[in-house]
This record gives sequence, structure tokens and C-alpha cells, in this order.
Amino acid sequence: MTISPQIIGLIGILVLLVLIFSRVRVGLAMAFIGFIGFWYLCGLEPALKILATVPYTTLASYHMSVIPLFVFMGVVIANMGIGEDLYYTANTLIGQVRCGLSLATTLACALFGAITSSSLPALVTLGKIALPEMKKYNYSLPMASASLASAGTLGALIPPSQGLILYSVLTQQSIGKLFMAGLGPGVLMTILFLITLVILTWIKPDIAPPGPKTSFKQKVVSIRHTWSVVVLFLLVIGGIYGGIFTPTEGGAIGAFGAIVISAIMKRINRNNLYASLMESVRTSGMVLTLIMGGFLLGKFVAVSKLPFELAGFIAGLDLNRFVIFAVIIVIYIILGMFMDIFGAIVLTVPILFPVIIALGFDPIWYGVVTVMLIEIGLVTPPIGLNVFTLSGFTGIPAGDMFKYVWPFVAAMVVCIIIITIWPQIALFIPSTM
Amino acid sequence: MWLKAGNRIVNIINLIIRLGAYIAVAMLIFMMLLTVCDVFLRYALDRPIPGGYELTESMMVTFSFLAIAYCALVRGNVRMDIFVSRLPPTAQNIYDIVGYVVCLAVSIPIAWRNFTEAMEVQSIGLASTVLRIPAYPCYLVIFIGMTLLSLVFLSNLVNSVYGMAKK
Repeated sequence: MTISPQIIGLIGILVLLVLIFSRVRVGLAMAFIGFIGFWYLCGLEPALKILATVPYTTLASYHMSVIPLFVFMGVVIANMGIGEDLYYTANTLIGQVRCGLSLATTLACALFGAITSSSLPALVTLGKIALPEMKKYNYSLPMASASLASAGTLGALIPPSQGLILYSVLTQQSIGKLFMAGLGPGVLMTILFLITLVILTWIKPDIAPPGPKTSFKQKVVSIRHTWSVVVLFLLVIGGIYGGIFTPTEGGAIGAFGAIVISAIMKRINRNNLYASLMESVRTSGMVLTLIMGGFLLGKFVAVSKLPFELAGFIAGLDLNRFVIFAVIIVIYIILGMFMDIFGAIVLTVPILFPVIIALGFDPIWYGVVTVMLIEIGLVTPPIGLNVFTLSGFTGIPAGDMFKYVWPFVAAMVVCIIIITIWPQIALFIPSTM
Repeated sequence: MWLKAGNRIVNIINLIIRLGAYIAVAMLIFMMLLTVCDVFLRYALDRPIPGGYELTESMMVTFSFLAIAYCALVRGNVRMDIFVSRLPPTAQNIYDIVGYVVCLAVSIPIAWRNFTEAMEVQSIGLASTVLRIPAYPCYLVIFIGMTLLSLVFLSNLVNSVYGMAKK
């Protein structure tokens, strides 16, 4: 009895999931299954050949340098205290209204997301400064931290975004267009988070009383603290949008700009520059391991013809494409509950991308939705990474935070529904490039 | 005596990987400066750096594989331990041993095949188009990076097995 390549592909994916749930490093587990599966389907010599060629062809690439450069930019910014500046400005502007400190933190997260590429920098920086302030003003700390954990996800959606870069690498879509497509949904999600906070404090006013009062002059003066964010955002995102440089060049210019700005602000020293560089090497190593593993797995999945069979099968079903999309949403939300954004993207995109294309969805729009879906998992039980990170350094029990997280998860789901109904929110800016 | 010798070897491996991380840092800085200069010269003098892409590609491969080894050393890889972390320590150790064997089963062949590929590429004189940068050192860097990665997993494996045996 011969087993069809598609069945082998399916078995390979199931074994991979077993390995991943058994604490095997995700990148290496993918590489292992890619190698063994390719060996089974094509023979040992071709399998050994892909081990010799794929790591080189994948990572010895000019375009791949966008990853360490944007990581470096984000780490430098996180270490130079821009988060504190943003919080100070947002707090001075709106801190005095009811739930003002939480509103200010959410705004600061969105602005921080506009110059960093993942959710953790905003979370760690703002968690350290905003939560003690909220404690001082008798905020419900589980609510405040649940709001911060959710707002932290904005960093992974608003460009530059490491999740979108990874999606672009795996699907060969334009990084520039993906970045621009993240802008509209990022702004929309920020607004929905703010509305959620207002509704929550309207129902329970005592969970977030007003913060310190500030004068009009203080408000105006505080705005000058945002100059570094405005300059970096315009430099990087403006440069990419305007076609002045490519996203890869944007990463280098952003990293260089972040160092120059921190030098002008006298916030750079040997210690924090060393820490930033070593952190960039570690984080890039993590992402690049996943990419190498993902590409080796992709070779096996491609020869098994599983994605194409799956795409053909699903396209042949007499179902509305939005029903199938709803199933994909559930898969991503479940996966996001157990896995971080990079692992989930590398694992699913090579298999589900052909399905999405066969269903007639826009690949740029789908990239943004994928990142949003996986981000939901960062704040939901059982492992909600953002919640546990905050719990780790604030001491607030994760279980208490999870109780308050659901209104924000609802806001994220509403945001996905809105951009599914009106994809132009994501696609308008890229269409003007 | 064996334990002492083993610890010394692990320390030497760690030192080499940390030195590799410093080389990766240097590559990151060079890539950044090269790209910034390239953009500046393209707009200011209409003369981009010839072969800038090729230089970046060579630096990127060096950066990548030294960073991958460093990431494994500092346990920065993505792992999902939500289930295994709830098991008793002995069971966790068994899972870890299996995990290290799986990692070694792919990292060693990658190292070995990139070494043979380097020899093959050197014999045919493969080089980049503009600057004629030979390709074989890149394959050797992959061999070095993956060998260091394998050594990290091997030392972790020995540690886990030793921990089990001691119990």
C-alpha cells in the first residue's frame, strides 16, 4: 500500500505539533520534520542537498537584513527612555479625566508601536512607569494592567512590525505595502481600546479615578517630548511610503536614526548600547532560527502538495468563503493561545496562505489580519504572553488580569470584523503607493 | 576528573560562542552603516556603493549563524513549555533529552553538509557577480555556526543525562 504524499504531509504536520508541544525548540523541530519528510518523499541525497542549500539561500539575503536592523532599532528605542517621554506627554494631555492614566498609557503604547516592531518594549517600559502611577491614584491594578497588556499588542501591528516582516518573508509580499496596511487597523484598534476603557469606567467609575490636574501651558510644553517619535516615524515610515528608500534600507536608517537621536538626547552610553546590541543578536537569532526551520519545512510541505490539495479541496466546498475564514480565525486564536507570534506565523502561513489566495482574499489584508489574530492570543489564557510578562514584574496575579482582559479581546475581534467588512481600512494606503 | 574536564570544555565552547556574538554585533553595525552610506551616496552623489548588496549578503550570513548559536546558548529560542512544565522534574528531563536529540539530528547534518558544500563550491570557484566575493567562506560560516549550535545542544544533552543518572 502506498501512502499519498498529501497524507505524509499531514502526518508530518501532526508529528511536528507533538514535538512542539513536547518543548522541542520550534525552529529546530520544523527543520527536523522538513528534513525527515523530504527524505521520505524524495530520498536521502536530495534531503541532504536541501540542508546544504536552504540555510544559505534563505539567510544570505540582502532583504533578510531587514530583520536584525528593525530589531536593533526597536531595542535601542526601548533602552533610551522614549517610552517614558510618551507616557509623560499623554498623561499631561489627558491624565486628569476619568480613567485618564489608562487612556494615556494606551495612547503611549500606540505611539511607541509606531517606532518599535513588537509588543514587549512598550509593555515593559510603560508597565514600569505607568502602573506605579496608577496605583498612586487608586486604579484597579488588574484592570489597568489588562488594558496595558492589550494595548501592548499595538506595537506588533502598527508599522514597523516584526510579524508583518516575517509574513512578507514567507509569502514574498511587499514589506512596504504590509507596513502601510498595518496603519489604518492600528489606529482603529487604538480608538476601540480607548472606547472600551471609557465604557468600562462608565460602568464602574471607581476602577479608574481621574489623575493629576495639569495646566494648559504644561500640556503644550509636554508635546515637545514627542519630537523624537515624530522624527523617527516620519523618517522610517515616511521614507518607505514616499519611495525614498526600500524597507530594508528603512531598517538601517531607523536604527542609525535611533542611535543619533539618543546621542542628541544624551541617553546613550556604553552599557545600554552594549545591552542593545547583544539583545538584538539574541532576538534576531531567535527569529532567524524560525525562518530557517520554516523554509526547510516549507520544502517538505511543498513536495507533499498538501497546501495545494487543501486549497483545492476548500475552494471546491460549497461554502461561503467567510465561513471558511471564520474557521481559520478560530484556528489562529487557539494557536495564538499557546504559541508566540513568530512561531504561529512560520507554522501556519506556508499551509494556509494558498488556501486564502484560492478563496480570493487579498494577501496584504490577510497579513494584517493574521498578525491581529495571533496578537489576541498574547492576552488570552492559558499562556497570554503579555499578561504573564506584566504579571512577572508587577506581581499582579495573571488570573486577576485575565478577568479584565475580555472587553479588550472583544475590541480586537470587533476590529477584525470591521476590517473584514471594510478591507479598504487596511488597503487604502498601500493602494496609493 | 571527567567532570572537571567536561566543565572546562563547556566553558571554552561558551567563550567561542560569545566571541561569535561579538562578531555578529560587528556585522550588524557594518550592515547598518553600509546601508546608510549607500542611501546617502545614492541621493547626494548619485553614486551608490558598488556591490553593496553583495557585501550585505555576506555579512548577513555571518551574522545569522553566529546569532543562531548565541541565541541557543542564552536559551532564547521559542519553546512551548505549557504542558511539559507541569510534569515532574524527571519527566521534564526525559522530554528535554528527546528534544536535544531531535535538535542534534538536524543541526549536525546541516553543519556537515555545509562543510562539504563549501568544498564543492570552492572547487568550482563560485563567487558573487560584482565584487567576486567567493561563496565558500559563507558556507564555512554556516558550518561553524551550526557546529557551535550542535555543541550547545550536546552539552545540554550531557547535562540532562548526567542529571538523570545522578538521581
